[in-house]
Amino acid sequence: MGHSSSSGQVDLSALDPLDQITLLQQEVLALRQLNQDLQVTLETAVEHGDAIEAELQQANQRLQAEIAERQMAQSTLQAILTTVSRDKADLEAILNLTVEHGDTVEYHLYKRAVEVMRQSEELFRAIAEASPVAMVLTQTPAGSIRYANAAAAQLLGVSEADILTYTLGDFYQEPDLPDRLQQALKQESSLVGFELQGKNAQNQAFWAIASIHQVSLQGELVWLTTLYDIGDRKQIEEALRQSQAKLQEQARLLKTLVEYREEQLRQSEEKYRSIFENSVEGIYQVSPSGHIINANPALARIYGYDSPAELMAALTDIAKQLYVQPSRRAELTVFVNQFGSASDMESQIYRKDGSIIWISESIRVVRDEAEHVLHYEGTVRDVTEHKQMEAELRQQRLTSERLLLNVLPQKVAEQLKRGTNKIADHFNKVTVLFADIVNFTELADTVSPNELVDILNEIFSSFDSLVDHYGLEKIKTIGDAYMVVGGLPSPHPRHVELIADLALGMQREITRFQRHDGTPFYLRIGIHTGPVIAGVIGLKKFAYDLWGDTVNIASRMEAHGEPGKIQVTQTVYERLKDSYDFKPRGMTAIKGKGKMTTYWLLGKRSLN
Amino acid sequence: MEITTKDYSVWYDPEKATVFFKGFLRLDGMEAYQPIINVLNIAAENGSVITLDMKNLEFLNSSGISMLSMFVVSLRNKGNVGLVLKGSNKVLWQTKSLRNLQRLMPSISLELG
Repeated sequence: MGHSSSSGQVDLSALDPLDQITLLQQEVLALRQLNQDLQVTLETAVEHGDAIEAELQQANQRLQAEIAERQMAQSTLQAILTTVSRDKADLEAILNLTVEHGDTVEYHLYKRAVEVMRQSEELFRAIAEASPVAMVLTQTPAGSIRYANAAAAQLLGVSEADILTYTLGDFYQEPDLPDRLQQALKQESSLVGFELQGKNAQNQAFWAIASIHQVSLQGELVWLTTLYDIGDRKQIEEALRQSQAKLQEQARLLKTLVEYREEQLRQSEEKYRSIFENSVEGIYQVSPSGHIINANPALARIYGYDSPAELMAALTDIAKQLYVQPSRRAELTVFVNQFGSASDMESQIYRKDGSIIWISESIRVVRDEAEHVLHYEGTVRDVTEHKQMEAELRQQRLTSERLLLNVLPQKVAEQLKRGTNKIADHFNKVTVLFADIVNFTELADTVSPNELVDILNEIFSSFDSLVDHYGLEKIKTIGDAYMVVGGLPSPHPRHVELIADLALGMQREITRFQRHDGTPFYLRIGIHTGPVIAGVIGLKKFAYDLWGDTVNIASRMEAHGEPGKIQVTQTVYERLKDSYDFKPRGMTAIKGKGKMTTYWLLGKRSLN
Repeated sequence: MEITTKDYSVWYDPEKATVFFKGFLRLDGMEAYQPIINVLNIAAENGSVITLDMKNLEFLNSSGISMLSMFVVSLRNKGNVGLVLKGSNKVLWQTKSLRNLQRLMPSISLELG
């Protein structure tokens, strides 16, 4: 830094050196001071400039922000304005809509109200005209008449046209009644059911029950007076009194009747109670679930209980506890539900001690009004004895039927049972066999009758088996003789062969038997074939028998035969000669027939 | 969801996306209509197109039509829910007012039968 030639500069040359130095030193100090000041000033100025600059910067930024904000606010305002305008339009539209809607509805309601009013007026008029009660509309409670129905015109004795020229008060007997009514109706809007005396246009008195109501007619308030003509009160009261007396009399009669019926009911109840208690039949009521809910002493006795109470306590499910057959109760219930009742249903049941008895019960179902089953009622009889008798009877019937079959061929037995009148039939083609045990009667001398019958029974029983085997019909035994027929009662094409086979079989069979002394029995057999009459005769000890020449000849064949042999006629021989072996006997004298050619049947030819 | 009184019934059938109206609606003021507005709002939240079936609504008072108008406006402002109005030609107010609702929301589909 150079010297600045300040105004205070001193001419050095004019001074002594010391002074000069001092002066210079002073000047240096001053300069230093100045320099320092400048330094400070400079720094201050710079700092100040910085501060100013920063301040300006900030101000600028604030301004920028403010501008942005303003812009934003403006657009927001714009948006709000838009929304508000739209809302305003909406609200205007809604308002219009609501108003129009209101108008429409109002119009509609008005129209309907008018219609309802019109209808209600019409209704009123119709009711009023149809009513037998006098109806009068007046402006004040007894004032001038605006309307009167036909009944009113009649009651008041005026034509319907003229009546509008009167006041209602004109027809009241008491002159001050209109005023009193007026007063009364200041407090109340109606008076109901008071009696008044009136007079009609012809000055005839009448009694009426009157009611007065305030009503609105076409927007105007008017008074409706109804007058119910009660005619002669005394007459009515008398009638009332009479009808009351009549009613009392009727009530008294009714009471007597009810008492009488109750007594009857009580008696019949007693009667039924007595029947119930003393009946020999068991009587019960059982619930649908099978619980006995009522039982009489007889039922307890039949079921083996000490008392009805004990029985009812024990039997809670009769399907399981009572009936022996598990499904029996279900069967009965189904039947009774279907048909309402069932009679004489027989079942086996367990008594209290576990023993089984037969009962016969009649059951009916009891339903309520809705057709639901309430319970079942039944009566029970012990039919165990009856049941046993029935079984015995059945057994006896079977036995007698079997016996009958032993005596008669089944077909004939059936005919007899059916009561067929025809007792005899003609059969063209049958074969008859007679067999006789040779010298059997001699045996009677040496053995007891019992033994005799025993041996005969054995022999004939074995013959019976053979007869059955060949399907032939045993007719009878006569002493020691045995008679069989083939082709009866049903025809059989091989009746001759079957009898021949039987004869051979009998001859074989007899060899199985011996007399007690060891000697054999011999059988004499005769056979003939031809027509016979067969049938049952007599009323007792029915016997099916055969008649005719064929029978006689067959018997002769046996009687004129020889022990151990089978004698047959020519007819039999002709029928059998191709398949059986015979030996001609030649001409034989036959009692009552003269001489006949007969043959000995030897055996059946073997198929080879 | 159902509101039933002796005068009217309003119920929402989600399967048909339909709110049914029946009877006589004459509630006193907009506030009284709040429960019905709630039903309508629920319907609007649950369907892309909802139907208001008013064929059996015989009477609707002014508060009611205002309520309906506001609902229509709110639906229009939402912009993503379609609206079908079913009405009856036999009910006088429906023939007029339902058509007027179209002025608030032109996209309303109106079925008068």
